[in-house]
Amino acid sequence: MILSGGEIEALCRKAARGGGMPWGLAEESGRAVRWLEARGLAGADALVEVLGRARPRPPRNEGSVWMADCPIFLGATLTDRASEIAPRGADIRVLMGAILLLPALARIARHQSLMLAWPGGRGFLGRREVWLDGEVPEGLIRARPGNLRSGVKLLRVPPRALPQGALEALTALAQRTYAPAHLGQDGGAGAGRTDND
Amino acid sequence: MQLDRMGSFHPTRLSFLRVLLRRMKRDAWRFDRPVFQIAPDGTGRAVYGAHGPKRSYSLVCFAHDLPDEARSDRVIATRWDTTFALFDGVPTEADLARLGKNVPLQEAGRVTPSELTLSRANRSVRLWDHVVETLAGGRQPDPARLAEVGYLMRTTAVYGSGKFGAADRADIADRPELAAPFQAEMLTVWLIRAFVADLIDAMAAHRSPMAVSLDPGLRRGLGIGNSTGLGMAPFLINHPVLLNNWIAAREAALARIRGLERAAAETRAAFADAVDMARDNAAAWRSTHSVQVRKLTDLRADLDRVAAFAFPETRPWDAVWRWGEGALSLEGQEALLSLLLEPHGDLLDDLVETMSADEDAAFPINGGMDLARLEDILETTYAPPDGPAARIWYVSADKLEPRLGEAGPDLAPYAQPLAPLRDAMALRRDLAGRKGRVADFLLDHPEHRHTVRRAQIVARFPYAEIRGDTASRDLLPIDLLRAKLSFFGATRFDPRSDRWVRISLFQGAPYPGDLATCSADEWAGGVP
Repeated sequence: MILSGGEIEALCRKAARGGGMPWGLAEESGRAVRWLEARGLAGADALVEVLGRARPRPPRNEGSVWMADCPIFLGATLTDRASEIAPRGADIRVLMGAILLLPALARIARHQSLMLAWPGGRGFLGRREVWLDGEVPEGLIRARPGNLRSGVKLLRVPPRALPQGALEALTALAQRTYAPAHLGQDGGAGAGRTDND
Repeated sequence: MQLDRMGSFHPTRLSFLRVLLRRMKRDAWRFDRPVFQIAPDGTGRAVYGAHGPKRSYSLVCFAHDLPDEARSDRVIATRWDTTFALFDGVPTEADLARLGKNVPLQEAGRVTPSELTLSRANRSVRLWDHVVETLAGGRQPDPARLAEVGYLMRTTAVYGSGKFGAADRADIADRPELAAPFQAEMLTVWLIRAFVADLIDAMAAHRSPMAVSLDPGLRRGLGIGNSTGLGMAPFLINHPVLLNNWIAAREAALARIRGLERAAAETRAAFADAVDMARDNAAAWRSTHSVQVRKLTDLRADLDRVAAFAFPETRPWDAVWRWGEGALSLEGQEALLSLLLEPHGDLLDDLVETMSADEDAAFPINGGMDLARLEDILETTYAPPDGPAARIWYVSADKLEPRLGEAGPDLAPYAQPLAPLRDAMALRRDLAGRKGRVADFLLDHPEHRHTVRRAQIVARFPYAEIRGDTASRDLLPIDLLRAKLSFFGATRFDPRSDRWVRISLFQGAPYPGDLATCSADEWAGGVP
């Protein structure tokens, strides 16, 4: 099933919440996956992986490397420090779903374009451009201010179907945010039987 | 902006359906009906085209044969009398075939980025058969009965912005004709109104060779009804920058008018005409909900007093506003605001351009903010509520719609972040005694991230937050609905409970065929 960007964002926000994230990070999850999928990158698969395994423990800064197991929490932590990171860059290590860091770094790149490097690949994030050379792996990513483009420029892609496995996993997680029917309180939310006039 | 005031808003000339008609009139849009295939039983399909300077849009309509017992306005309904999609361009036969398989299913079908909205409408059982029968008999329907209901059909949902696979708002927001909020949705409803009027004529004609068409004057007086419940209520909370921009535009408009030193004679006359129309409309406005009945009583008395106000020569509009703040009910004050805006289009219509919002731009959190500053924002924005939260907003698994339930441990795990005041109080508790920066605080307290975001938004956008408790036992969700619906341009706000309402859209407005030859604005001068 092909989802609009808004549907992807809403589904992932709910799934992240259902998977145990606080609302603020769930919002970041929805935006991140929408951003990635709009550029043809497999954000939904990555979020499923993260929600299945990561504990949302706070990122930490060790020996000037920012590290965390959850890329959403780490990305949020980095963007919260955008004005510090943009001029200096950062070294970042995430244990899973590294592609989910990209939207956060792109937000920082609105202040100052960033060159990315990791073992076996490179990338570039400009104010409005994303270039990638190779997949973004788990492990150390080096982000530095700079203007050197490398790899292939990513174009926005038309809405496409999410992988069926990811769609089902995200839908199941999203359903955890819904109150079971037996808790429902008939509050007269809409027209009842008397509306047929 | 407080809930009781928001629950008294009236439509204004900045309302989105007014914006739509003004633009289409100004840019000389053309309208046509390339397809109209309606069988004797009232089923079939039709296409209504709207052609602007650069682009065309087409309402694709499907009419069904729905037994009375299957008709429900609830969002969980599965069948409707009519279903619609607004197509981006002019559809081919293949597009129509694809839409014919999906649009009648509504939520259970899928549309594509070629569609901008998805909608459906049900007949007014009170009126439909009466009108078909009288027209088929060669007579016009009873005007009093038409006026009592005000519409032949009411929409039960108009989905836009990427719902069910439709085009995302972000992908169309740069088109001038869709830049103002909800223009695709308003165009949808306006063209639905045209289709419904044609459909009832067609059904009468199929029934009898003696049939006549609905009298143009009666036709004009019919709007499209709308039933709306709790599902719409969270929108204003979920779009804080948009809410800010809507309120800020109203406030800016009012400030410009109050700043005028003198009022031209023709402007005063136009204001007086608008007051007269408003009095007529208030007299025709019906509701049986006790809150609204009281408000209507206040409104009628207030409009009489506005009509009798003796304007001074100097700063007359400022004088009437300041008088109204003390003398009128909230309902009357808000009607006065709408009336003041009405004759001042030249002065304020440009404010429409400020009423859209880029929520994305306000999304990042400034982690460098000092926690003392954050506390300041919270203290000035959120007044401590009385007692614990009485209500929880949640989404029920069986209806997949927002609901409002009694606060308690059962529902707490399912609470939606729709009570910002309560979240702000929790944040303040955890901020007590903390020093440092927001970024470090959020490392320890990610559970407050969404609340910190809101607080930083409200620091930049002063009207972004409703100044009230959306988890209070006293909350009237219809206040939220009325505020939003007033920005659409809805009239005849008629609460059916504290949680759902019926309203009317485009009642009295020109039809597509009339727009070239009549005013885009004068029909609406009397606001309510």
